[in-house]
Amino acid sequence: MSSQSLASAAGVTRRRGFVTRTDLIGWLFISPWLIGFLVFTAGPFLAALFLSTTTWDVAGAWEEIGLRNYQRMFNGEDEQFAVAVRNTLYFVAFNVPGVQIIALALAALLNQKLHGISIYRTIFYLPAVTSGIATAYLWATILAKFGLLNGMLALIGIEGPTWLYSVEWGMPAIIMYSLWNVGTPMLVYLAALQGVPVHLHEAAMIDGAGIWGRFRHVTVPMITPAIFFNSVLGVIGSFQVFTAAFILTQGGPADATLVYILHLYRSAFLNGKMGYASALAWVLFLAILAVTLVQLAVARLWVYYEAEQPTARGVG
Amino acid sequence: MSATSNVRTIGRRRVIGLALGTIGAGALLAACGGSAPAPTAAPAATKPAAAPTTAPATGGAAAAPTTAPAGGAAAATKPAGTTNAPSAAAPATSKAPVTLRFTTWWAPLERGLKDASDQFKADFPYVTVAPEMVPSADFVPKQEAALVAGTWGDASISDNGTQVKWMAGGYHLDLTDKVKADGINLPQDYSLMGLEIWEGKVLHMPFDNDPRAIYYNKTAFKAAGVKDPWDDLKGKWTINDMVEAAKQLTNVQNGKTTFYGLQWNYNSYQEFSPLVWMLGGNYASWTELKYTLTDPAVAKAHQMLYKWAKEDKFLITVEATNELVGPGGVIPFRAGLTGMYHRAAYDVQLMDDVIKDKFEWDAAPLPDLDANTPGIPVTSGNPNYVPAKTRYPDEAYAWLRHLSSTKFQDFAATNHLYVPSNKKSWKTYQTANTKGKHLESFIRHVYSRRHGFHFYNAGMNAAGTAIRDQIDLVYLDKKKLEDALRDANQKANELVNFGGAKQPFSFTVPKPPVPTAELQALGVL
Repeated sequence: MSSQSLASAAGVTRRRGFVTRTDLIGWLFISPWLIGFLVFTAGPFLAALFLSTTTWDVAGAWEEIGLRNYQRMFNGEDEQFAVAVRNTLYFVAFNVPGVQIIALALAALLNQKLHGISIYRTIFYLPAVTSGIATAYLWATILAKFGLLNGMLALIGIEGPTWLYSVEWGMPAIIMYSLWNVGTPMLVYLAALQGVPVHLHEAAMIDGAGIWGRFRHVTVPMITPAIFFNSVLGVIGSFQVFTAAFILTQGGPADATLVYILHLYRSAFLNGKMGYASALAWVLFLAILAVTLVQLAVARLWVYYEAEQPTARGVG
Repeated sequence: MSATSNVRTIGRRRVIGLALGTIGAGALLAACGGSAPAPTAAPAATKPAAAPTTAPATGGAAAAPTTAPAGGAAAATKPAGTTNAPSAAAPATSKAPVTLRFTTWWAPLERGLKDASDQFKADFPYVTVAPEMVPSADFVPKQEAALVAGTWGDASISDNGTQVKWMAGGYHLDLTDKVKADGINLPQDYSLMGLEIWEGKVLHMPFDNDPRAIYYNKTAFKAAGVKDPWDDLKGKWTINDMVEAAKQLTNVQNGKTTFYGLQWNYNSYQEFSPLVWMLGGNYASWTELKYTLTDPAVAKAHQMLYKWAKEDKFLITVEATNELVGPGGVIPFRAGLTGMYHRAAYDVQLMDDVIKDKFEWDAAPLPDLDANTPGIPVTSGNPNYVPAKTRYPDEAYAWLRHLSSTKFQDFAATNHLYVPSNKKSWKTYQTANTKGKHLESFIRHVYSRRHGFHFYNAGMNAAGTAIRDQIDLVYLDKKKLEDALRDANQKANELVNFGGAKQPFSFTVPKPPVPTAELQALGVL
C-alpha cells in the first residue's frame, strides 16, 4: 500500500470516526511532553495571570483587586519597579550588543584552520556549561577590591574601584561578568560562518574585496539569520538576568544593580506578595513579547535567508 | 483488503470513556499515595494517615492506636530529664514504627541531632527521627512550597522573620492542649521570644535564645596593649571603653585600613537595636504593632554608628568589608580583620570551627552606655513547630518537647549548640566546657539586665531589607540620615504584617530582667 493511499485512508477515517488509532498513538507519544507543558508551563502561566489580580500571599486570606497590582507599578507606588526597569534596560542595552560582538569575534577567530583549534573552541565554550553560581563566585574574586582585575589595572597605574559595592561600577561589573559567558552564541556564529559558501568569498576576492570588505559584504549578510537568532535569544535572556545580581551584589548597593527578576523574586519570596510578583512576571512577559515582535518585524528589513531567494532557474 | 479497513477508528464515546477512565485511575492512585491528611480546623484531632495498628491493647506487647488521647498514659512515657509528663501516649514500645521528618536550618544543631534522636528513641523506641538540614538561605521558599503542598514533614524549625504568615494561615498545629496536659508552664520555665504563644495559643515549642555579645580578638588586644574587657575591666565596661579599644586596635597602613577595631552590622535593625534601647527609644512598638524608626533615639544611635564608621573609621563598613573580603566572603572578624564583633551566640561554635588556633578569642558583655545606663542586649529565638498536616501529631509534639526538655537542652548547652531557651540549662551553658571563654556574656550579662527581642511579624525579613537599603544609602552618602529613616519607616510599615492578630505579644520589649532571686536559684548569678 502506498503512502498516498494510507494518507487518503486516514483522511477518510478521520471523517468517519472521531479519531483514528494512529492519531491516538501519536497523541500518546507526545503526551508526556504535552502533560508536562500543560501542568508545569501553561497551567502556572494562566494561574499567574489570575493571581496577578489578587493579593494572594500563599498562606493567608486574599482578595481580588482587579488591576491594582498593575497600577501600583506604573503610578510610582512601587519605587523599586522603576529602578529595576531602568537597571534592566541598562543591562540589556550593553549586554545584548556586547555579547554579539564578542561572540562573533571569537567565532571568527575560532573559524581559522589552526592546529588544536578544537581545544580553543572547547575552552571558550566552557563558561556556557559551567554553573552560573560557580562562575559568579569566580567573578566575585576577580572583581574584588584586591582581585585579579584591579591587580591588572594597578600594573598600568589605575586604582580600580570596589566593583561590586559601587553605585557607579556595580552594573558594569555585572555586564562584564555576563559578557564572559558567550559560549552558546559563539557556537551558533561558528556554525553560521562555516556555512558561508567559499565561492562567494572567491568571487568577492576576484572583484578586489579585502578582508574587511568580504566580512562586511559577504560574511555578515550571509550570517544575518544567526545574528537575528542570537539577538532574539540575547534580548530575552538579558531581560531575565538574575543570577549575577543575586549572587554578586544582591541588588545593591543602594539598588544600583536591582534588576527586574531580582525585584520579582524579592516581591514573591521575601515580601510574600505573590499576587504582585505575578503581575510583575506578566508585565515582563508582555515587554519581552513586544520587543521580540518588533525584532521579528524589523528582521524582514535586514535578515537574509538564502533559501528564500529566487533561484537562477526560478527567475529564468 | 482495502486501505480503509486497516485503520481502526475510535468513536467519541470511547475517547471520552478512555479519558474518564484515566482520570479515575489517576484519582485512585492519588488516593492510595499516602498523602497527608488535609488540614483541619482542629489539627490536633487529625488521625495519622499511616496508623498501622489494629491489634487489641490487651494483647501484651501488641500495638495500640497510634494516636492515643492526649494525656492518656502520659506518665508511663515521661522522658528522663523532662520536668513534666508527656501527653503523647501509651507505652512507647507497643507502637508500630514511625519515621518523623524534622526540618531545620540550625547548622550547629546538626552535630547534636544524632544524640537528640538517640535520647528520644530511649523513650520512644518506635520513632525514628529523620533530620533534614535545609540551608538557611533556601529555607523560606522551600518551606513556602512544601507547607502549602503538605510535604513539609512532621516538625520544623521556624523562620522567625516570616513565620507569622503560616501561623495566621493555620499551618501550625495548635499545641495548647498538649502543653497544658503536660503541665508545662512555658512563660515560667523558658525565655520566650514571642512566637511561642501567639494570641493565647501555643504554636511553637521553645528551642533556643540567641543573645548578642561582643566577641573580641584577645590576641589583637594583647598585641595593641588594649585593656582586656575581662582581664582588665572584669566584664564591666562602657561604650566609651569599647570605642577607645576600637580606636587603638584599628591599624592604618599607607592610608588604608588593614585592621578595623569593630564590626557591628549597623544596617541591620537586629544589631542596632541595643543602641536604640540604651538611648531610651525603640525602633518598633510592641503594643501598636508598627515600626517607629523616626524615634529620635534611632537617629541618635545611627549618628553614633556613622561617626564610628566615617569619622573615627574604626567601624568596618559594608563597603570596606567588600574591599577586604569580597561580597559574601568570610566574616571579617573570623578572618582576623577586626578586633571586636557584635554578634549572636549562634557563632560560638562556628568561631571555633573557622578561627581554630589562628588567634585567641573571647566574648564580652554588651557594654553599658555609661556608668548609670546599663547595656540592653538583644536576643532572638528560633522555636520549633508541628505543621498542621503532620502525619504524627503526637510523636512530633513529643519530639519538640524533647528538644526543649532539660535533658536535651543541657546536652545542647554543654556542647554550646545554642543558648537554651530552657532557663534550667542556662547555668550549664555558661559553666560547662567553656574552654576559658566567658560564655556568661550570653547568659548572666543578658538576662540579669533588661533585654530585647526582635519585632517578629510576617514582614520582618522584608522590612529588614528595606531598612538595610535605606541605611546603606546613608553610608554611601547618597541620602541624609533623617530622610533615610523616614523612608525606611514608611516602607517597613507597609510591610509589617501580623496576620490579623490584634495583640499577639504577651510582653513588650525591652523585657525586664529575670528577677535576681530566680537567677540565683537557677545558679546563673
